Amino acid sequence: MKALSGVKALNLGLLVLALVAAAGWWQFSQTNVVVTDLAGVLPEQSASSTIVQARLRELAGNRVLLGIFAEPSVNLEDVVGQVTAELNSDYFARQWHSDVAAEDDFVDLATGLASLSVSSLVLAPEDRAALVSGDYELADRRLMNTLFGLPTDVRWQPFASDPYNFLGRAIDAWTPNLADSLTLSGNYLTGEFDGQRVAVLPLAAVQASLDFDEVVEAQKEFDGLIRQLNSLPGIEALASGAVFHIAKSTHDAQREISLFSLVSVLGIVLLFTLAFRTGKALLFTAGSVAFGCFVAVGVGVLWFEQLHVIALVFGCSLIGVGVDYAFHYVCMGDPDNLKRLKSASFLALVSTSVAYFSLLQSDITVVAQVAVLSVFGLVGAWLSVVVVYPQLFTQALPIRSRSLIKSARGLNAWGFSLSHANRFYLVGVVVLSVVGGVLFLGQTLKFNDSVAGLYETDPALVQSDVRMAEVLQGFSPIRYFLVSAKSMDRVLEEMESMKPILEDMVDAGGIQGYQLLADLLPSRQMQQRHRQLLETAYGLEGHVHDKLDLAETARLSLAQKLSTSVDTAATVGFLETHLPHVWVGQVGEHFQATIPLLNPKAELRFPPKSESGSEKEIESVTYVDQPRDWGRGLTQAAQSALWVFVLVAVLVGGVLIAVFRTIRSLSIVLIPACSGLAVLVLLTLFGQAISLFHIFGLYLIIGLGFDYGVFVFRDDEASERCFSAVLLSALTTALAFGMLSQSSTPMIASFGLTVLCGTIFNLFLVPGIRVFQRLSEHQ
Amino acid sequence: MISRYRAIILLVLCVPTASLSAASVPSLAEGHAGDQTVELNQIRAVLTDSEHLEGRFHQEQRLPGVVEPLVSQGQFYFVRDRALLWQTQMPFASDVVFRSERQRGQSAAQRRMSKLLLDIFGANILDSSDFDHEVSGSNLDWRVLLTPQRKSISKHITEIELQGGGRLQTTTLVFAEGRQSHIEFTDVVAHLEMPEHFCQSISELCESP
Repeated sequence: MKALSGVKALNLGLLVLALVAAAGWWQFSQTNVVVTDLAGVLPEQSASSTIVQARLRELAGNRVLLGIFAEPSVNLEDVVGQVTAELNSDYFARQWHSDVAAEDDFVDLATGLASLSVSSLVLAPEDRAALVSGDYELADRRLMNTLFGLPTDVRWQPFASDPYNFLGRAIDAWTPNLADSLTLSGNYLTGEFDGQRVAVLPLAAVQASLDFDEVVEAQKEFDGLIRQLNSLPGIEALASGAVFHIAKSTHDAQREISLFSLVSVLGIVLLFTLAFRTGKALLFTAGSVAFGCFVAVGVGVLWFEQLHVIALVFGCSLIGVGVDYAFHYVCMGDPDNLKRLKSASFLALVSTSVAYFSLLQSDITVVAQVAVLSVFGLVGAWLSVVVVYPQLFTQALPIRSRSLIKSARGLNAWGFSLSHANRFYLVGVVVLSVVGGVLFLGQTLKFNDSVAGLYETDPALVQSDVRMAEVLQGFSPIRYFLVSAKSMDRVLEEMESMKPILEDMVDAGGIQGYQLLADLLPSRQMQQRHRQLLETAYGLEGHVHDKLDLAETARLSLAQKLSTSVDTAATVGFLETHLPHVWVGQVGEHFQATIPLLNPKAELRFPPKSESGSEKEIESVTYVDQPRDWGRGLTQAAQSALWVFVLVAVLVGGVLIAVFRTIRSLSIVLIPACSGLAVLVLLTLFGQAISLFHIFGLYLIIGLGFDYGVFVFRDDEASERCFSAVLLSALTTALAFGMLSQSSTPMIASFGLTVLCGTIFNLFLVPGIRVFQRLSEHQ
Repeated sequence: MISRYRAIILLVLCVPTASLSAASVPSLAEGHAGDQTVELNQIRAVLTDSEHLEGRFHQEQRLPGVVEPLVSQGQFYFVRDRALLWQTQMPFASDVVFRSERQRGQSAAQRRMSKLLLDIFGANILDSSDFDHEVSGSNLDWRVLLTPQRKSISKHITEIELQGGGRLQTTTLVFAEGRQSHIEFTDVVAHLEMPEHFCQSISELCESP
């Protein structure tokens, strides 16, 4: 009765899991749930950094720069005309539009600022410098030129509102400059670069975000256009944009998913054919793995709503792990052994799941997704094996492959010889190896702090990006200053105190320029200072004003302006939505704003050294260097994951002692722990810097090692059949992860290599469990 | 016989004109039989005939809120596609040079305005797709009305009017905020190279290549 209810519970569990997974797959089929952005594989950042990055991605995300380089003899305008005609037809007309309209956004910004009455209290740096130094002659001359010279000043306010055009000159000074060699010509930028004539056409996607298929289509269409242009004599064309990197990584990931899955499946089919020579076992095993994958993806979609493509690639690893349960059942599933097999496989499942679930705490989205995919995939595979096996098989299948039997015998004999070796020597060797390994790692272990260690970027795409960046010289989306304070006015004051430091950086060549919000919206303190300067120079008793025969209305206008203050809150509210390069807003209790930098050097450091050599403290200003911060985050995540790995080993050890009620059961956890240590030593010896994804591989090693260890430990008969199952499992795992180690994506390759090496160590160390069984017999 | 005399009279009349034309700007009337409807390429041909131009200007700026126009006078020197020297002599002395090449510290807006001025003087503006053109008048008295097509320009300048006959005589710029600048050009002469006395202001154009 009890057994029957147990079977019913398992059946019910299988049904519920299937229904939940089906719901997830239904969601999968309805919307695009696969994402490819780099943020998913990077540690989560502070709220402000996330908001700023989202804003910057929104600005730069779906933009493409089309560069056309022409020999001096070529008529570039004709070529641009052809390209424009192409861009106005079919696909491009539907999906992309010219991004020079951003200039109109700037017009809206300036007009809006003009209507916010900021004019008279905003001074261009040159005007301010002249007034501060008391150079009224210069101020006078500038003013006379404004009034009597050729009308070159751009005015954003009527003459009566801003007679001296302070706002116009301030906005002029604030406007981001195009590169020296470029000028705006219609819908494109044109100029000279490296002795060639160049035209740059900025384009933006019509849609706010592009899905999987649209990204691939965009790459195909742009490739066609570039090929067409490159076929013209004297023309070299290139396209630059994040969309091409996404398309490349998407394409690579799709190719690898297909290839690795195919090779893994073919390898497993071949192994089964050699081992059992029956289709039934193969179908059963394949069915359990397929159901595991079905559950993993279905639950993963429901859990996270969106899955990262890298998490799906890691999901391929389930083929190598989930197959273990089926192997052990097929090799050892005699009726009298089923109960023991079920409890052993359940213990293996629980210990592996504990290891995986510990990864759920990771602040890297992909790692958390892999944890959920792995745990539910394994649960699905285990449930399907336990429920379906008794319906299909009455006893274990004999192994037909002689070489497999021989190898299993060899492993068994290796365990036997170990168990009869001198215990003191054996313990001595193990202790010395472990201590030596730990000491070696303590001295030489290096963590990978480079984001480049995650994705292999296409050199051709990087070259295009670099070349376009050289031509355009725009603001960096990944390096900027973030100013934070309890009030917006304080943020503006901090920015004003940053100005001399920024100027020093420009002089030293660390940056080419910057854009300071406080130059358009001075702090109250600075507004007061400007008011004094203006009154001294242009007021009724001023130095400059008396020399001019201006209309009374203009004088009154200035006097009226000087008596009012800028409405900071209203201006910030307006700027939040209109600033093209600056992010400004409130995060929690703090007001924050960015200072975008023009071409910051990678080696730029902040805070700068003061004259005494010590670093100058500027608490409210942070220099955000995304690549460096991501690198640091990845290193910290890898270090904490390594500690969690050690804790998991201890935790599982405790569980094993509680279940088996003997200290010798610790051998189950000792074997994979030693394998993990050996892998780390091996990788370090070969000069690999350890990344989070190596550590993630260690979790799989410990999970696999538990599986092998539990089955061998529970196999009192010390049978070759148990080692046959372990050997088959190790071979399939090595096959699947050997494939992953060949991935073009470094993080997947490092994961695959770690598990491949760990599986080999596990295989050769797991017979050592026999030593503990013999110790027990002696006792 | 009558036609022979007519030819001699014409020849005599043309001698002083021909000797003057070596130094002055060629006229649209030359080579054209009479008062015909003008075409844009004819105006372009006249305005782009000389590389170096020198002349005097008289500018009146009308500003909203200012009753009297702000009047300035002086001389200019224009080198096609290179630079424009604007020497104000009245009511104050000032030299301003607008160059086609970008200057250090020059803002994007200043650069755009410099380019626009050089394009107006050099007639490149007649080929610009940023403006709609409306041509009227005859060879002897033509008028081109330019209306900006892009928001970034029309937000500042709503209209540019060029008027002339055998040469450019007046330019009127109408700004969005109501300002209006009317410039008259007189004593315009063409040069093959820059006279010495301008070299002080645009030294780089006097240096030998």
